[in-house]
Amino acid sequence: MKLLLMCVGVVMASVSPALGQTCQTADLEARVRALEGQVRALQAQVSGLLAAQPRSIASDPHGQGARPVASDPTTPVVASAPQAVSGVPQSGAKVFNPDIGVIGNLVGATGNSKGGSDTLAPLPLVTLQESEASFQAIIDPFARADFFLAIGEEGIEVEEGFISFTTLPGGLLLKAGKMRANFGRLNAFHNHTLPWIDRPLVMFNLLGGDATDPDTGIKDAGLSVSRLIPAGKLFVEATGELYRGDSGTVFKSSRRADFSTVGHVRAYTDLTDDANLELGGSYSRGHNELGSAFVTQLYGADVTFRWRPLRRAIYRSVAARAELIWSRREDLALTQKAFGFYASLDYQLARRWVAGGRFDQSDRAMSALIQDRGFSGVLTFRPSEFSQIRSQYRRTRFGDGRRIASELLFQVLFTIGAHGAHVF
Amino acid sequence: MHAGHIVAGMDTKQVWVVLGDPVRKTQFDRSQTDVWLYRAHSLQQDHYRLGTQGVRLIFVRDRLVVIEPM
Repeated sequence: MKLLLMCVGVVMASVSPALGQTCQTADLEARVRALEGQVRALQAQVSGLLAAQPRSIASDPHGQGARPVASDPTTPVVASAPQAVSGVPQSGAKVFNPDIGVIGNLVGATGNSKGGSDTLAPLPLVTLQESEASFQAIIDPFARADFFLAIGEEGIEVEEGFISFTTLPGGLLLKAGKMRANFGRLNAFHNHTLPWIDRPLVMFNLLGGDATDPDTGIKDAGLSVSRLIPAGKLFVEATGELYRGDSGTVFKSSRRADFSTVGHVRAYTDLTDDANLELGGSYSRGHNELGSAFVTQLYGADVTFRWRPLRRAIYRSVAARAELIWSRREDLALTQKAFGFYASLDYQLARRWVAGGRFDQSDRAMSALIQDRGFSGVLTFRPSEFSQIRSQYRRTRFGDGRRIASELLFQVLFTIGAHGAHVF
Repeated sequence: MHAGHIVAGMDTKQVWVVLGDPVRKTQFDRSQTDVWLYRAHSLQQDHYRLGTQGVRLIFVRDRLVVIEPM
Protein backbone atom coordinates (compact mmCIF):
# COMPACT_ATOMS: atom_id res chain seq x y z
CA MET A 1 0.00 0.00 0.00
CA LYS A 2 2.75 2.29 0.97
CA LEU A 3 4.59 1.34 -2.17
CA LEU A 4 1.51 2.11 -4.24
CA LEU A 5 1.10 5.50 -2.62
CA MET A 6 4.76 6.23 -3.20
CA CYS A 7 4.40 5.35 -6.87
CA VAL A 8 1.34 7.57 -7.20
CA GLY A 9 3.20 10.38 -5.56
CA VAL A 10 6.12 10.00 -7.93
CA VAL A 11 3.78 9.97 -10.90
CA MET A 12 1.95 13.04 -9.62
CA ALA A 13 5.19 14.87 -9.07
CA SER A 14 6.31 14.22 -12.61
CA VAL A 15 2.99 15.23 -14.18
CA SER A 16 2.33 18.46 -12.26
CA PRO A 17 5.12 20.53 -13.92
CA ALA A 18 3.84 19.54 -17.34
CA LEU A 19 0.39 20.57 -16.30
CA GLY A 20 1.84 23.93 -15.12
CA GLN A 21 3.63 24.47 -18.36
CA THR A 22 0.49 23.75 -20.30
CA CYS A 23 -1.39 26.28 -18.25
CA GLN A 24 1.31 28.87 -18.79
CA THR A 25 1.36 28.25 -22.53
CA ALA A 26 -2.34 28.63 -22.77
CA ASP A 27 -2.12 31.83 -20.84
CA LEU A 28 0.60 33.12 -23.08
CA GLU A 29 -1.34 32.18 -26.15
CA ALA A 30 -4.33 33.99 -24.82
CA ARG A 31 -2.30 37.07 -24.15
CA VAL A 32 -0.74 36.96 -27.59
CA ARG A 33 -4.15 36.68 -29.18
CA ALA A 34 -5.30 39.69 -27.20
CA LEU A 35 -2.29 41.72 -28.27
CA GLU A 36 -2.84 40.78 -31.88
CA GLY A 37 -6.34 42.06 -31.62
CA GLN A 38 -5.17 45.34 -30.14
CA VAL A 39 -2.60 45.85 -32.92
CA ARG A 40 -5.23 45.22 -35.57
CA ALA A 41 -7.48 47.77 -33.93
CA LEU A 42 -4.70 50.38 -33.82
CA GLN A 43 -3.85 49.78 -37.44
CA ALA A 44 -7.44 50.34 -38.38
CA GLN A 45 -7.50 53.61 -36.44
CA VAL A 46 -4.34 54.92 -38.15
CA SER A 47 -5.67 54.06 -41.57
CA GLY A 48 -8.83 55.90 -40.82
CA LEU A 49 -6.97 58.99 -39.61
CA LEU A 50 -4.73 59.11 -42.69
CA ALA A 51 -7.68 58.81 -45.00
CA ALA A 52 -9.44 61.70 -43.25
CA GLN A 53 -6.43 64.20 -43.47
CA PRO A 54 -5.89 66.70 -46.46
CA ARG A 55 -3.81 65.39 -49.32
CA SER A 56 -0.97 67.97 -48.86
CA ILE A 57 -0.02 66.67 -45.48
CA ALA A 58 -0.62 63.12 -46.40
CA SER A 59 1.91 63.40 -49.26
CA ASP A 60 4.41 65.46 -47.27
CA PRO A 61 5.37 63.20 -44.42
CA HIS A 62 8.48 65.22 -43.58
CA GLY A 63 6.54 68.43 -42.87
CA GLN A 64 8.31 70.62 -45.45
CA GLY A 65 5.22 72.27 -46.84
CA ALA A 66 4.66 76.01 -47.72
CA ARG A 67 5.68 78.67 -45.23
CA PRO A 68 2.60 79.93 -43.39
CA VAL A 69 1.51 83.52 -44.09
CA ALA A 70 2.50 85.86 -41.30
CA SER A 71 -0.45 86.82 -39.19
CA ASP A 72 1.41 89.38 -37.09
CA PRO A 73 -0.12 92.77 -37.95
CA THR A 74 3.19 94.51 -37.35
CA THR A 75 4.90 92.67 -40.16
CA PRO A 76 4.43 93.84 -43.74
CA VAL A 77 1.79 91.98 -45.67
CA VAL A 78 3.39 90.03 -48.45
CA ALA A 79 1.42 90.50 -51.62
CA SER A 80 0.64 87.32 -53.52
CA ALA A 81 1.95 86.97 -57.02
CA PRO A 82 -0.53 88.13 -59.66
CA GLN A 83 -2.57 85.37 -61.26
CA ALA A 84 -2.36 84.85 -64.99
CA VAL A 85 -5.58 85.94 -66.64
CA SER A 86 -5.08 84.58 -70.12
CA GLY A 87 -5.45 80.90 -70.76
CA VAL A 88 -2.80 81.00 -73.49
CA PRO A 89 0.52 79.51 -72.39
CA GLN A 90 2.90 82.43 -72.07
CA SER A 91 6.01 80.58 -73.07
CA GLY A 92 4.62 79.75 -76.46
CA ALA A 93 2.68 82.92 -77.24
CA LYS A 94 5.37 85.57 -76.92
CA VAL A 95 8.63 83.86 -77.74
CA PHE A 96 9.56 86.48 -80.32
CA ASN A 97 7.44 89.36 -79.03
CA PRO A 98 8.83 92.12 -76.85
CA ASP A 99 7.23 93.05 -73.56
CA ILE A 100 4.54 95.54 -74.44
CA GLY A 101 2.85 97.98 -72.12
CA VAL A 102 0.64 101.03 -72.60
CA ILE A 103 0.12 103.82 -70.11
CA GLY A 104 -2.78 106.19 -70.50
CA ASN A 105 -2.40 109.66 -69.03
CA LEU A 106 -5.63 111.63 -68.87
CA VAL A 107 -5.07 115.15 -67.56
CA GLY A 108 -7.41 118.04 -67.02
CA ALA A 109 -7.43 121.46 -65.46
CA THR A 110 -9.82 124.06 -64.20
CA GLY A 111 -9.40 127.44 -62.64
CA ASN A 112 -7.99 130.75 -63.68
CA SER A 113 -4.69 130.56 -65.56
CA LYS A 114 -4.57 134.27 -66.33
CA GLY A 115 -3.55 133.40 -69.88
CA GLY A 116 -0.86 130.99 -68.76
CA SER A 117 2.81 131.59 -69.28
CA ASP A 118 4.97 131.49 -72.35
CA THR A 119 7.22 129.00 -70.54
CA LEU A 120 4.63 126.69 -69.03
CA ALA A 121 2.64 124.19 -71.02
CA PRO A 122 -0.97 125.40 -70.74
CA LEU A 123 -3.49 122.68 -69.92
CA PRO A 124 -6.91 122.49 -71.58
CA LEU A 125 -10.02 121.37 -69.72
CA VAL A 126 -9.21 117.71 -70.39
CA THR A 127 -6.72 115.94 -72.63
CA LEU A 128 -5.21 112.51 -73.14
CA GLN A 129 -1.75 113.83 -72.60
CA GLU A 130 1.23 111.82 -73.84
CA SER A 131 0.07 108.27 -73.43
CA GLU A 132 3.03 105.97 -73.72
CA ALA A 133 3.53 102.61 -75.39
CA SER A 134 6.63 100.68 -74.38
CA PHE A 135 8.36 97.84 -76.19
CA GLN A 136 11.22 96.17 -74.36
CA ALA A 137 13.12 93.00 -75.00
CA ILE A 138 16.45 91.29 -74.70
CA ILE A 139 18.21 91.23 -78.07
CA ASP A 140 20.92 88.76 -77.22
CA PRO A 141 23.13 87.92 -74.23
CA PHE A 142 24.96 91.18 -74.76
CA ALA A 143 22.28 93.78 -75.36
CA ARG A 144 18.68 94.80 -74.85
CA ALA A 145 16.42 97.30 -76.61
CA ASP A 146 13.85 99.75 -75.26
CA PHE A 147 11.38 101.82 -77.21
CA PHE A 148 8.93 104.30 -75.75
CA LEU A 149 6.42 105.93 -78.06
CA ALA A 150 4.66 109.06 -76.90
CA ILE A 151 1.12 109.11 -78.20
CA GLY A 152 -0.51 112.50 -77.99
CA GLU A 153 -3.57 114.05 -79.49
CA GLU A 154 -1.46 115.51 -82.27
CA GLY A 155 0.46 112.42 -83.27
CA ILE A 156 3.01 109.84 -82.28
CA GLU A 157 6.68 110.34 -81.72
CA VAL A 158 9.55 108.28 -80.42
CA GLU A 159 10.06 109.52 -76.89
CA GLU A 160 12.99 107.22 -76.39
CA GLY A 161 14.49 104.41 -78.41
CA PHE A 162 17.86 102.97 -77.55
CA ILE A 163 20.00 99.87 -77.33
CA SER A 164 21.86 99.05 -74.12
CA PHE A 165 25.05 97.00 -74.09
CA THR A 166 25.10 95.45 -70.66
CA THR A 167 28.13 93.17 -70.71
CA LEU A 168 30.97 95.49 -71.68
CA PRO A 169 34.32 95.07 -69.97
CA GLY A 170 35.17 97.25 -67.03
CA GLY A 171 31.59 97.27 -65.80
CA LEU A 172 30.60 99.85 -68.40
CA LEU A 173 27.01 100.29 -69.50
CA LEU A 174 26.64 101.80 -72.97
CA LYS A 175 23.39 103.12 -74.41
CA ALA A 176 22.93 104.41 -77.92
CA GLY A 177 19.85 106.01 -79.40
CA LYS A 178 17.41 108.71 -78.50
CA MET A 179 16.94 109.14 -74.79
CA ARG A 180 16.30 111.56 -72.01
CA ALA A 181 19.55 112.94 -70.64
CA ASN A 182 20.75 111.90 -67.25
CA PHE A 183 20.94 115.46 -65.98
CA GLY A 184 19.84 116.04 -62.42
CA ARG A 185 17.20 113.93 -60.84
CA LEU A 186 13.99 114.45 -62.76
CA ASN A 187 15.09 114.95 -66.34
CA ALA A 188 15.39 111.22 -66.98
CA PHE A 189 11.88 110.50 -65.67
CA HIS A 190 8.82 110.44 -67.85
CA ASN A 191 5.81 112.47 -66.83
CA HIS A 192 3.75 109.51 -65.65
CA THR A 193 6.47 108.49 -63.21
CA LEU A 194 6.56 111.82 -61.39
CA PRO A 195 4.94 112.36 -57.99
CA TRP A 196 3.06 115.38 -59.46
CA ILE A 197 0.90 116.05 -62.49
CA ASP A 198 3.19 118.69 -63.95
CA ARG A 199 6.91 119.31 -63.95
CA PRO A 200 8.54 121.94 -61.73
CA LEU A 201 8.96 125.46 -63.10
CA VAL A 202 12.73 125.10 -63.28
CA MET A 203 12.39 122.25 -65.78
CA PHE A 204 10.49 124.47 -68.18
CA ASN A 205 12.47 127.64 -67.60
CA LEU A 206 16.03 126.34 -67.62
CA LEU A 207 16.02 122.83 -69.12
CA GLY A 208 13.53 124.03 -71.63
CA GLY A 209 11.83 122.45 -74.11
CA ASP A 210 9.04 123.39 -76.40
CA ALA A 211 6.74 125.81 -74.61
CA THR A 212 3.78 123.52 -75.33
CA ASP A 213 5.57 120.27 -74.50
CA PRO A 214 4.48 118.94 -71.11
CA ASP A 215 7.28 116.39 -71.14
CA THR A 216 9.99 119.00 -71.28
CA GLY A 217 13.67 118.56 -70.54
CA ILE A 218 16.90 117.58 -72.25
CA LYS A 219 16.24 114.72 -74.65
CA ASP A 220 18.27 114.02 -77.73
CA ALA A 221 19.95 111.35 -79.82
CA GLY A 222 23.39 110.24 -78.73
CA LEU A 223 25.50 107.96 -76.57
CA SER A 224 25.55 107.38 -72.85
CA VAL A 225 28.24 105.57 -70.87
CA SER A 226 27.93 104.86 -67.19
CA ARG A 227 29.96 102.97 -64.64
CA LEU A 228 29.78 102.09 -61.00
CA ILE A 229 32.68 103.47 -59.00
CA PRO A 230 33.90 101.51 -55.98
CA ALA A 231 33.49 103.73 -52.94
CA GLY A 232 33.23 101.58 -49.89
CA LYS A 233 29.76 101.71 -48.40
CA LEU A 234 28.54 104.21 -50.98
CA PHE A 235 26.86 103.30 -54.23
CA VAL A 236 28.45 105.72 -56.71
CA GLU A 237 27.67 105.89 -60.38
CA ALA A 238 29.23 108.20 -62.96
CA THR A 239 27.64 108.89 -66.36
CA GLY A 240 28.98 110.67 -69.40
CA GLU A 241 26.79 111.45 -72.39
CA LEU A 242 27.29 112.89 -75.84
CA TYR A 243 24.33 114.17 -77.86
CA ARG A 244 23.66 115.67 -81.26
CA GLY A 245 22.95 119.04 -79.64
CA ASP A 246 19.27 119.58 -80.46
CA SER A 247 16.99 119.71 -77.45
CA GLY A 248 14.01 122.02 -77.35
CA THR A 249 14.94 125.59 -76.60
CA VAL A 250 18.02 124.88 -74.49
CA PHE A 251 20.40 123.46 -77.13
CA LYS A 252 20.52 123.92 -80.88
CA SER A 253 23.16 122.59 -83.23
CA SER A 254 23.97 124.60 -86.34
CA ARG A 255 26.55 122.10 -87.59
CA ARG A 256 27.73 118.59 -86.74
CA ALA A 257 30.44 119.88 -84.43
CA ASP A 258 27.85 121.58 -82.20
CA PHE A 259 27.25 118.53 -80.09
CA SER A 260 26.17 118.74 -76.45
CA THR A 261 27.55 116.88 -73.46
CA VAL A 262 26.14 115.83 -70.11
CA GLY A 263 27.98 114.57 -67.04
CA HIS A 264 26.37 113.19 -63.91
CA VAL A 265 27.62 111.67 -60.68
CA ARG A 266 25.40 110.33 -57.97
CA ALA A 267 26.03 108.70 -54.62
CA TYR A 268 23.56 106.61 -52.68
CA THR A 269 23.75 105.23 -49.17
CA ASP A 270 21.45 103.52 -46.69
CA LEU A 271 21.50 105.62 -43.52
CA THR A 272 19.52 103.06 -41.52
CA ASP A 273 17.29 100.17 -42.45
CA ASP A 274 14.45 102.70 -42.78
CA ALA A 275 16.15 105.67 -44.42
CA ASN A 276 18.40 106.35 -47.36
CA LEU A 277 19.97 109.38 -49.00
CA GLU A 278 21.04 110.15 -52.53
CA LEU A 279 23.13 113.11 -53.71
CA GLY A 280 23.86 114.04 -57.28
CA GLY A 281 25.81 116.57 -59.30
CA SER A 282 25.35 117.37 -62.99
CA TYR A 283 26.89 119.45 -65.75
CA SER A 284 25.77 120.02 -69.30
CA ARG A 285 27.13 122.12 -72.15
CA GLY A 286 25.84 122.82 -75.63
CA HIS A 287 25.27 125.50 -78.21
CA ASN A 288 22.11 127.56 -78.21
CA GLU A 289 19.92 128.84 -81.02
CA LEU A 290 22.02 131.99 -81.54
CA GLY A 291 24.72 130.02 -83.31
CA SER A 292 27.84 127.93 -82.97
CA ALA A 293 29.69 130.70 -81.14
CA PHE A 294 27.18 130.85 -78.31
CA VAL A 295 27.27 128.28 -75.54
CA THR A 296 24.85 127.40 -72.77
CA GLN A 297 26.12 125.70 -69.66
CA LEU A 298 24.01 124.07 -66.97
CA TYR A 299 25.03 123.06 -63.47
CA GLY A 300 22.84 120.95 -61.25
CA ALA A 301 22.73 119.57 -57.72
CA ASP A 302 20.07 117.25 -56.37
CA VAL A 303 19.28 115.53 -53.10
CA THR A 304 16.68 112.86 -52.32
CA PHE A 305 15.86 111.54 -48.88
CA ARG A 306 13.54 108.58 -48.35
CA TRP A 307 12.18 107.07 -45.18
CA ARG A 308 10.17 103.88 -45.18
CA PRO A 309 9.67 101.91 -41.93
CA LEU A 310 10.12 98.37 -43.12
CA ARG A 311 7.56 96.80 -40.84
CA ARG A 312 4.96 99.17 -42.30
CA ALA A 313 6.63 99.45 -45.69
CA ILE A 314 3.47 99.51 -47.80
CA TYR A 315 1.56 101.81 -45.45
CA ARG A 316 3.99 104.61 -44.58
CA SER A 317 6.78 106.42 -46.34
CA VAL A 318 8.25 109.86 -46.73
CA ALA A 319 10.16 111.23 -49.70
CA ALA A 320 11.84 114.62 -49.74
CA ARG A 321 13.45 115.98 -52.90
CA ALA A 322 15.24 119.12 -53.95
CA GLU A 323 17.03 120.08 -57.10
CA LEU A 324 18.98 123.25 -57.89
CA ILE A 325 19.96 124.31 -61.41
CA TRP A 326 22.16 127.14 -62.58
CA SER A 327 22.14 128.28 -66.17
CA ARG A 328 24.83 130.29 -67.99
CA ARG A 329 23.53 131.24 -71.39
CA GLU A 330 25.71 133.30 -73.72
CA ASP A 331 23.62 135.94 -75.39
CA LEU A 332 24.39 138.57 -77.99
CA ALA A 333 25.07 141.28 -75.43
CA LEU A 334 25.84 139.44 -72.20
CA THR A 335 25.67 136.11 -70.42
CA GLN A 336 22.32 135.36 -68.79
CA LYS A 337 22.93 133.85 -65.37
CA ALA A 338 19.77 132.25 -64.12
CA PHE A 339 18.98 130.06 -61.13
CA GLY A 340 16.03 127.86 -60.28
CA PHE A 341 15.07 125.16 -57.84
CA TYR A 342 12.23 123.07 -56.50
CA ALA A 343 11.70 121.39 -53.14
CA SER A 344 9.05 118.79 -52.46
CA LEU A 345 7.80 116.54 -49.70
CA ASP A 346 5.54 113.51 -50.13
CA TYR A 347 3.99 111.60 -47.25
CA GLN A 348 2.22 108.29 -47.63
CA LEU A 349 -0.85 108.44 -45.41
CA ALA A 350 -2.08 104.91 -45.96
CA ARG A 351 -1.54 102.03 -48.29
CA ARG A 352 -3.18 103.78 -51.24
CA TRP A 353 -2.99 107.48 -50.30
CA VAL A 354 -0.14 109.93 -50.70
CA ALA A 355 -0.19 113.65 -49.92
CA GLY A 356 2.50 116.10 -50.84
CA GLY A 357 3.57 119.61 -51.63
CA ARG A 358 6.10 121.34 -53.82
CA PHE A 359 7.64 124.79 -53.93
CA ASP A 360 9.05 126.18 -57.19
CA GLN A 361 11.17 129.18 -57.95
CA SER A 362 13.00 129.84 -61.17
CA ASP A 363 14.49 132.62 -63.26
CA ARG A 364 14.10 132.40 -67.01
CA ALA A 365 17.02 131.27 -69.15
CA MET A 366 16.69 134.04 -71.72
CA SER A 367 15.63 136.75 -69.24
CA ALA A 368 17.32 136.04 -65.95
CA LEU A 369 15.75 139.03 -64.23
CA ILE A 370 12.27 137.56 -64.54
CA GLN A 371 11.48 135.12 -61.76
CA ASP A 372 8.51 132.79 -61.53
CA ARG A 373 7.32 131.22 -58.31
CA GLY A 374 4.81 128.52 -57.60
CA PHE A 375 3.35 126.26 -54.98
CA SER A 376 1.49 122.98 -55.41
CA GLY A 377 -0.45 120.68 -53.11
CA VAL A 378 -0.98 117.12 -54.35
CA LEU A 379 -3.21 114.24 -53.29
CA THR A 380 -2.80 110.82 -54.91
CA PHE A 381 -4.99 107.74 -54.67
CA ARG A 382 -3.78 104.38 -56.02
CA PRO A 383 -6.60 101.85 -56.29
CA SER A 384 -4.05 99.30 -57.44
CA GLU A 385 -0.57 99.18 -58.90
CA PHE A 386 -2.09 99.58 -62.37
CA SER A 387 -4.01 102.80 -61.90
CA GLN A 388 -3.73 106.12 -60.15
CA ILE A 389 -5.93 109.13 -59.57
CA ARG A 390 -4.34 112.41 -58.62
CA SER A 391 -5.40 115.98 -57.98
CA GLN A 392 -3.13 118.98 -57.67
CA TYR A 393 -3.76 122.57 -56.72
CA ARG A 394 -1.22 124.80 -58.39
CA ARG A 395 -0.71 128.48 -57.74
CA THR A 396 1.89 130.23 -59.87
CA ARG A 397 3.04 133.81 -59.86
CA PHE A 398 4.67 134.76 -63.14
CA GLY A 399 7.40 137.38 -63.00
CA ASP A 400 6.40 139.10 -66.22
CA GLY A 401 3.43 141.29 -65.37
CA ARG A 402 3.14 139.62 -61.96
CA ARG A 403 0.25 137.48 -63.21
CA ILE A 404 -1.08 134.83 -60.87
CA ALA A 405 -2.52 131.54 -62.06
CA SER A 406 -4.60 129.48 -59.67
CA GLU A 407 -5.52 126.10 -61.08
CA LEU A 408 -6.86 122.73 -60.01
CA LEU A 409 -5.41 119.86 -62.00
CA PHE A 410 -6.51 116.26 -62.08
CA GLN A 411 -4.97 113.15 -63.58
CA VAL A 412 -5.96 109.55 -64.20
CA LEU A 413 -3.17 107.10 -65.01
CA PHE A 414 -3.92 103.56 -66.16
CA THR A 415 -1.67 100.79 -67.34
CA ILE A 416 -2.14 97.67 -69.42
CA GLY A 417 0.29 95.05 -70.62
CA ALA A 418 3.02 92.93 -69.14
CA HIS A 419 4.33 94.40 -65.98
CA GLY A 420 7.68 94.46 -64.39
CA ALA A 421 8.66 96.17 -61.19
CA HIS A 422 6.24 98.48 -59.48
CA VAL A 423 6.53 100.84 -56.60
CA PHE A 424 4.65 99.46 -53.63
CA MET B 1 10.01 84.02 -63.26
CA HIS B 2 10.38 82.47 -66.69
CA ALA B 3 9.41 85.79 -68.24
CA GLY B 4 12.07 87.61 -66.26
CA HIS B 5 9.81 89.56 -63.92
CA ILE B 6 9.98 89.97 -60.19
CA VAL B 7 7.01 90.51 -57.93
CA ALA B 8 6.52 91.06 -54.25
CA GLY B 9 6.44 87.84 -52.29
CA MET B 10 9.41 86.25 -54.02
CA ASP B 11 12.29 85.19 -51.85
CA THR B 12 15.93 86.10 -52.34
CA LYS B 13 16.72 82.94 -54.26
CA GLN B 14 13.94 83.53 -56.75
CA VAL B 15 14.98 87.12 -57.28
CA TRP B 16 18.58 86.05 -57.72
CA VAL B 17 17.54 83.51 -60.34
CA VAL B 18 15.72 86.23 -62.29
CA LEU B 19 18.04 89.20 -61.89
CA GLY B 20 21.38 87.74 -60.91
CA ASP B 21 23.79 89.25 -58.43
CA PRO B 22 22.91 92.75 -57.26
CA VAL B 23 25.50 95.49 -57.50
CA ARG B 24 25.19 96.09 -53.79
CA LYS B 25 23.82 94.23 -50.78
CA THR B 26 23.13 95.70 -47.38
CA GLN B 27 22.03 93.68 -44.39
CA PHE B 28 20.30 94.97 -41.27
CA ASP B 29 20.36 92.23 -38.65
CA ARG B 30 18.11 94.01 -36.18
CA SER B 31 15.14 94.05 -38.52
CA GLN B 32 16.14 90.94 -40.54
CA THR B 33 16.17 93.14 -43.60
CA ASP B 34 18.18 92.92 -46.78
CA VAL B 35 18.41 95.74 -49.30
CA TRP B 36 19.57 94.87 -52.80
CA LEU B 37 20.41 97.42 -55.44
CA TYR B 38 20.27 96.73 -59.15
CA ARG B 39 20.98 98.92 -62.11
CA ALA B 40 17.77 99.55 -63.98
CA HIS B 41 18.68 97.66 -67.14
CA SER B 42 18.58 94.46 -65.10
CA LEU B 43 14.80 94.52 -65.16
CA GLN B 44 13.09 92.69 -68.01
CA GLN B 45 10.56 95.48 -68.38
CA ASP B 46 11.33 98.88 -67.08
CA HIS B 47 7.78 99.96 -66.49
CA TYR B 48 8.67 102.93 -64.38
CA ARG B 49 11.22 104.18 -66.84
CA LEU B 50 14.05 103.83 -64.44
CA GLY B 51 16.50 104.51 -67.23
CA THR B 52 19.91 104.97 -65.76
CA GLN B 53 18.44 105.20 -62.31
CA GLY B 54 18.29 101.97 -60.41
CA VAL B 55 15.94 99.75 -58.54
CA ARG B 56 15.96 99.03 -54.84
CA LEU B 57 14.61 95.76 -53.51
CA ILE B 58 13.82 95.35 -49.83
CA PHE B 59 13.53 91.89 -48.33
CA VAL B 60 12.10 91.35 -44.87
CA ARG B 61 12.72 87.87 -43.48
CA ASP B 62 13.81 86.73 -46.90
CA ARG B 63 10.62 87.90 -48.63
CA LEU B 64 10.53 90.70 -51.18
CA VAL B 65 8.36 93.43 -49.77
CA VAL B 66 9.24 96.63 -51.58
CA ILE B 67 10.35 97.36 -55.12
CA GLU B 68 11.11 100.99 -55.69
CA PRO B 69 13.14 103.14 -58.04
CA MET B 70 16.25 104.66 -56.61
